[in-house]
Amino acid sequence: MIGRFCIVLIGLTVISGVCLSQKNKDMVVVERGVYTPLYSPDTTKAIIQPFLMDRYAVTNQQFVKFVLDHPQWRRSRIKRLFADSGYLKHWSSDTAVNSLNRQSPVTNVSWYAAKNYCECQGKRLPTVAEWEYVAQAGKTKKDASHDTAFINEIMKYYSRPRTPMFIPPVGSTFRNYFGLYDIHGLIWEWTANFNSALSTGESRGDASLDKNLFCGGGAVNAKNLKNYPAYLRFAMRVSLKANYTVWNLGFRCAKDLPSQTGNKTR
Amino acid sequence: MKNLYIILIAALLWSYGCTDKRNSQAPGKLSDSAPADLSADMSVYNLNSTWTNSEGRQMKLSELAGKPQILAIIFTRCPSACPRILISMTQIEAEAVKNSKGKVGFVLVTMDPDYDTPQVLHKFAEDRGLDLKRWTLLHGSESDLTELANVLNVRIRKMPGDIFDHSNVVHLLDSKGVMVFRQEGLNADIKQTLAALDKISSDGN
Repeated sequence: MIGRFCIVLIGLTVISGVCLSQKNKDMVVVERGVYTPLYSPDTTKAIIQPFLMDRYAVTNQQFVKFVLDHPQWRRSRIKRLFADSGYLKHWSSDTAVNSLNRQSPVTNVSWYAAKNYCECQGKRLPTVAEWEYVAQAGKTKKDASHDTAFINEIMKYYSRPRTPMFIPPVGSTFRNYFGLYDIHGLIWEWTANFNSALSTGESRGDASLDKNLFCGGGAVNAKNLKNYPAYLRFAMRVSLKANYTVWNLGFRCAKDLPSQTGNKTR
Repeated sequence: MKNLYIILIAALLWSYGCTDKRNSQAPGKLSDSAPADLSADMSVYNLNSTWTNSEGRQMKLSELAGKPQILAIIFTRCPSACPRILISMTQIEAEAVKNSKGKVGFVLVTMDPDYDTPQVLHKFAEDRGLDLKRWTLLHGSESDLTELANVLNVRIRKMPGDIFDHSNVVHLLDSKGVMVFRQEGLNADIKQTLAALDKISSDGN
């Protein structure tokens, strides 16, 4: 009897291991690093603690499964507080997407939807620092942010004409140094603290903050002026509100490594 | 042998439950069946997050429904801006009480949950003589705080040295939790806020 009980116990452990590892499947470990934020006072550097990141952006197919499990996130049921009227507009129904788009990254999702999707997986959205840190990586180089060729290639992606009817499937652009696909070349991606970039309304010109509107606005001059793509992403984030949906804005999830919970980089 | 079958069936059910388990464990930030008087699509109280007040009691934001609330996101170590926000709120409180503008509550939410524990918030309220019958001070996880800040369109950025850059805003929520007025900036005139409060009180909101 004890023997059989042990077998069952082992079986249960294996099953739970499989369940858990399936969620972490297709995540890469991003090793510890240092990142210089584009906008920060003086010589601030962010220490990136090691973390897990989804290898690919979340797909339409995966998001279909999510709304099947969580009806309050379906297009016809979502509250305006949590997504604007463009939410999942490219889907053919509440719970179905055109077969052509199944493996494409899900877009037309708000920050609330992205955040909730990740949390239901036991994950979270990556922080801006984490995302920008991995975005520095080229195919073979950990930090290619000063490589003119790399930057030009990204600018080429950003200048492509709009194709809202079809976004290529995940994995169709390049694999970077960390093993992550499509960090550049496919979609913009939500981050946990996109709203932490402070600026006044139309701020493309001014580098100073209206001190009455914002407490403690330090001098925030861009660090690497050659990294125009990073500047564009920064401007994009500043223009977003959490309930916005955009045809080419999606997300991927991240996760603390077990020993690192609580040490998350901002 | 029968026991073994029972255990195996239980194991199968449990492993199936592994997929669904994450659903029941999910933070479930939306309440699927909101009470009728909170059905307002834009109500902040649609957030289902759980907070701890300065008395150490856990609560949902929807408990604030039933009367207008003046709300600000601050942190206790804030050197200059938040004290001025607080003064603004106490001025609104004084006027509201003086003119018997009916019920109105005041809410402070911390943007610094690591330092501003419920105990710290309690001391903060005590030191500043905030009447806890009218004032609610809330502590939540960073994730829930970010979500609330996004709903209210408050930008927060943690800077080195335990300081936060943040929007300076005082919000007026009606009794259903819909934000009806934003008082922006540190030198804002409370007259407009009081007028907005007047309007929703007389409209029965």
